Parts: sequence; structure tokens; C-alpha cells
Amino acid sequence: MTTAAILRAEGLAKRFGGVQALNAVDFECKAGEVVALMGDNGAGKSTLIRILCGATKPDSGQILIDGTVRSITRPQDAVTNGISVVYQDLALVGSMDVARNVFLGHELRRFGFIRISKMREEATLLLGQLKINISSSKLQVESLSGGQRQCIAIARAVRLGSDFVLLDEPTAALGPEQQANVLRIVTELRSAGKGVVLISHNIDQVLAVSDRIIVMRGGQVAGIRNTKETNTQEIVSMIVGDQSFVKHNLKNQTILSEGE
Amino acid sequence: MATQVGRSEKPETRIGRIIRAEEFGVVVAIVAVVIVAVSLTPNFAVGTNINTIVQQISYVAICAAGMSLVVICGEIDLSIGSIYGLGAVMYTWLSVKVDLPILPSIILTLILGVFIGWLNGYVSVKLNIPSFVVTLAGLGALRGATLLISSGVPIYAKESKTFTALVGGSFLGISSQVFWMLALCTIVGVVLAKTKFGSDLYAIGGNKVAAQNAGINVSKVKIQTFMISSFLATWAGIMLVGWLGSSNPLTGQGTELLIVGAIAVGGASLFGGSGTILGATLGAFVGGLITNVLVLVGVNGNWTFVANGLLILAAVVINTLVRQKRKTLRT
Repeated sequence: MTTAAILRAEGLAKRFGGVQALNAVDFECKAGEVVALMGDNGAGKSTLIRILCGATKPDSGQILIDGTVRSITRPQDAVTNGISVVYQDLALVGSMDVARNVFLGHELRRFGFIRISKMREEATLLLGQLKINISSSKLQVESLSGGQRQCIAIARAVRLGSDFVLLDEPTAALGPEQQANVLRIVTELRSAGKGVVLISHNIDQVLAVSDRIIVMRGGQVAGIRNTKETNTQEIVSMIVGDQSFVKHNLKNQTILSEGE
Repeated sequence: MATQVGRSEKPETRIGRIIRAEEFGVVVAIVAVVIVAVSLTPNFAVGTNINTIVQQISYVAICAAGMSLVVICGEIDLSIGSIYGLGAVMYTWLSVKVDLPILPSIILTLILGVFIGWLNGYVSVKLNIPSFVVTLAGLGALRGATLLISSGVPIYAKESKTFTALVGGSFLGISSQVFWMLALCTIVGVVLAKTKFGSDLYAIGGNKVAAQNAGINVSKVKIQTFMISSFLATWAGIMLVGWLGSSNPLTGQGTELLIVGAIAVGGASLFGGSGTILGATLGAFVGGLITNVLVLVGVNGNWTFVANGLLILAAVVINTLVRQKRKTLRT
């Protein structure tokens, strides 16, 4: 497995028909860092993620790991380069148990036979390391909550030995408690030295878990901030791209909440 | 953080596990049919009848084992009965009409079977056409080919010690077909339950996109299941010649229903993702036993078609209801 420390992208551009989805985008994520990608719908976040994980080919630009240019043209290339993307519903098979899902496509074998008890053992160990609370690795995934499933999908990525884990709105459609659990796993990944790229629309969550925030707008990077040195207002203004509009709205919001 | 505990995470009791097993329903069905059979007719529980039943069932069971693989990964092969019939006729045609030796005839027939499976799979998977449409066409075309090859009449098998030793004889009063069934169903069952190939099938049937994302070559695996299924059906056809001593151009007509029935009764979902070889084999027994009882009782033979049709419907309805119930229990 690679021991990459920096995932970089330089000058990424992608056009879909008449739409310039990405335009000269530079990107960087270090090991042990959580980078949040924010932006309105159509800002280019998902296109960027899709390029990084080999699902979409950029028109121009390159991806570098530790300064070396890597050719990532298929999802498999991304995995071999230590990059994995987690889509909850696209990663798990509901009718199979937790252990089989964690090892999906990479089952442990001896003499051609699957070692199910060994897989269960290792899955339990891995879930324990990530502090994911699931009572047994024999449980069918479809019997678990959305949050638990998201955690298993993340555990799968970790199991593959990925140095960089890309999460596309991992807390969307989850209840508050489950959201908290997923975010906790994100910080666990950071402590384990993984680089995490997190797409989210939830500013509070991003401010709580990320180290750096990259805001995208119209296919370009609108701004990069260290999370500790920014606030909701600045991020929103970068997302929307209109300072006065944001100030006005925030003022109204304050008046509204005071009036309640 | 011990907040997330799913409702179904209670440790399961042994009885609970037995009841929840996919094969539970089919075992209950077999017991019920046997009880009815024994009470209706004294001829049922006779050694020779039992051997005959199992022998008759063996062909369907072998085909059902193969097609289970296709069904588990979310496809279906409706041409399986025609492939089975073609296997019988092709073998006798090659060995008798072309006068090839026995082993080359068997091997060529099996190669043809595998090729038909590949074609079914390739057209369905690579061209993205629903397999029930592709194989429905195959059902008709292969039946026609079988009639053409045989000129519509039975072909009597060549006398051969090799052939009799392979698929014609019996051991300890048990027909060789029964041993073939046990061996082949066990092999397919182990492959399905214990190998990566088997695991891939469940993954593909359960969530094709997830399987793809996990690096499983979905198209290749699916086409392989069609080839294995077709191989086993062809072999079942050759085995049938060993029993009957001839091939009949109408062999296998309607057998696809018995096979689909066996798989459905065995607890597999016809939408993919679940099912076992043990279940399908036992499912073949349910259909075979019902047919046998109806024959022994002296009911008009056409009732067996009605019975089998109703059996499939009942199995699918029960499976669907059980699955829905499980789902509502979970959420």
C-alpha cells in the first residue's frame, strides 16, 4: 500500500456540453487532514470528487500523490493509488452480512474457499478500532440504521488501505444522532492518519470537524480558509458570492430570531 | 457511544435460526406432501417407488442447481428446458446418426451446451436485454432445432458399456442418476456457499452497483452462470438418455416451469440476491412428490401442470409476504 502524504490536483478542467463544470481547479489534501468541499449545487464539488476517484476523466489537469503524477482513469486506478470514495447505497449489499460487506470483492480466502469466520473476526476488530458500534458482524446490513450503514461503507474504504477517503454528503438523510456518529468516524479517520475529503452542505458540521474549507462556485475555487480562522458568515458569502446579500440576509435572520 | 443498537440485534435461538432458514418452508412442504401421500396411497412408501421418484427428480434438481446461480445474480434462463431436451437429442444424434464414439459425443454435446449458455448470457448481459426475453426466444429456437435434428422422432441410444457405466446403471439398488444429483448439487452448493464466485453472485443479485464498485466483473460472472447452468442442463439431458435408452424430441418441454418452481419453492427470490442449492434441490422434491402422488392416486395427468403452476404461485406469494414481513419488523 502507498504511504502517500499529499493528494494534489492541478488545473483540473471538465466541460459537459455547454457547461464548464470545472475550470482550472487546484486542490490539495494532506494525510491526517479533513478538507471540506462546500458550494451550491452545480458548483463543481461532485465533478471534482468524481475526477479524483477515477469515475470521470478530466479534459485537462493532473492528479499527483506525493508529487508524482498518477494516471487515474478508472475507479480501480484510484483504489490502487490509495483513494477511495464512499457512496453509502452504492457500496453495500443489504442482503449480505456486515463482514461480507466490509470484505466485498476482496474476500479472505484459503485454497479458494472463503474464510468467513476469519472475515467476521477481522471485521469486528476493524469496527472496534473505528469505534463503530454494531453488536455483531453477522448482522444483515439491511437490518441496520442509515448511520451504521454509512459507517460500514467507510470501514470498507479503510479496510482497502486507502490513504484518502472521499465522502460525498455522508450525513445527508441521517438523523442527528447518526450524523454525530458519522462525523465521529471522520475524526477517527483523521486520527488514523487518513486524508478525508468531505462534501457537505451543513456549515455547522463542516466547522466542527474540518481543518480546511474549500468553497467552490461556478466550477472554480471561490476561496480556501482554515476552519479555525473563519466563520459561518464568511463561508456563506463565499458560497453565494455576494457579500452585501449575505449580510442583509444574516441581519434579517438575526432580527427574525430575536422577534420569536 | 453505545447509542446505535438495531432492533434485530438480539442473539438468535437455535429454533429461531431453523425457522428463519431459507429452506424451512420447503422442508415443511415436503413433510406435508409425504404425509398426504402416505395416507392416500399405500404404494407411495415402497422402495422402488422412492427410487423412481428420486431418479425422476434428479434431472430437475441438477438443472435447478445450475439455474439457481443464474437466478441468484438476478437473471433467469427460460430456455433451460429446451437446452435439457437438446442435450438428450444432440447426444443420441452424434453417437447414433453421426456414429461418433460415446465420449466425443458427450463432450461435443456439453461444449454445445456451454456455448448456448454463453450466447444467452452474452446477448442478455452485454447487449443489456432482459434475460427472460432472450431466453424465451432461446426456448423456442432450441426446441425447433431439437425437432429438426431428430426429425421429430425418438432416437434410440447406442449400446455402450461406457455409457451405461456413466449414467445407466445402479449401485445398491439406487440409480446412478441419484448419485449424479447428489454429487453435482453438492459441488454447486459448495461453490455457491464457500467460494468468492458464489459470494459475487449474491452481491450482484443484492446490489449490482455495489458489486461493480467493489471491483466484481458483473458481466463476466453473469455470463459464467449462464454457461454453468446450460452445462448442467445438457448433462441432465445426456443422463436422461442413460435412463430411458432413447432421446425424445419433446423432452424438456415444460421442464423450465418445474425448474423455476423448484427454485422458487426452495426459498430463492426470483429477483436475485438470495437462494441456496439445498433449497432448490428440496424444491425439486416438492414438485416431483406432488406429481408422483397425483399419478399414484390416478388423477388425470394434466392436473400435474395445474398443481405445479399453483405451486410456483404459492411459493412466490409466500416468499414475498415473508420478506415484506421481515422488512417491516426491521424498520
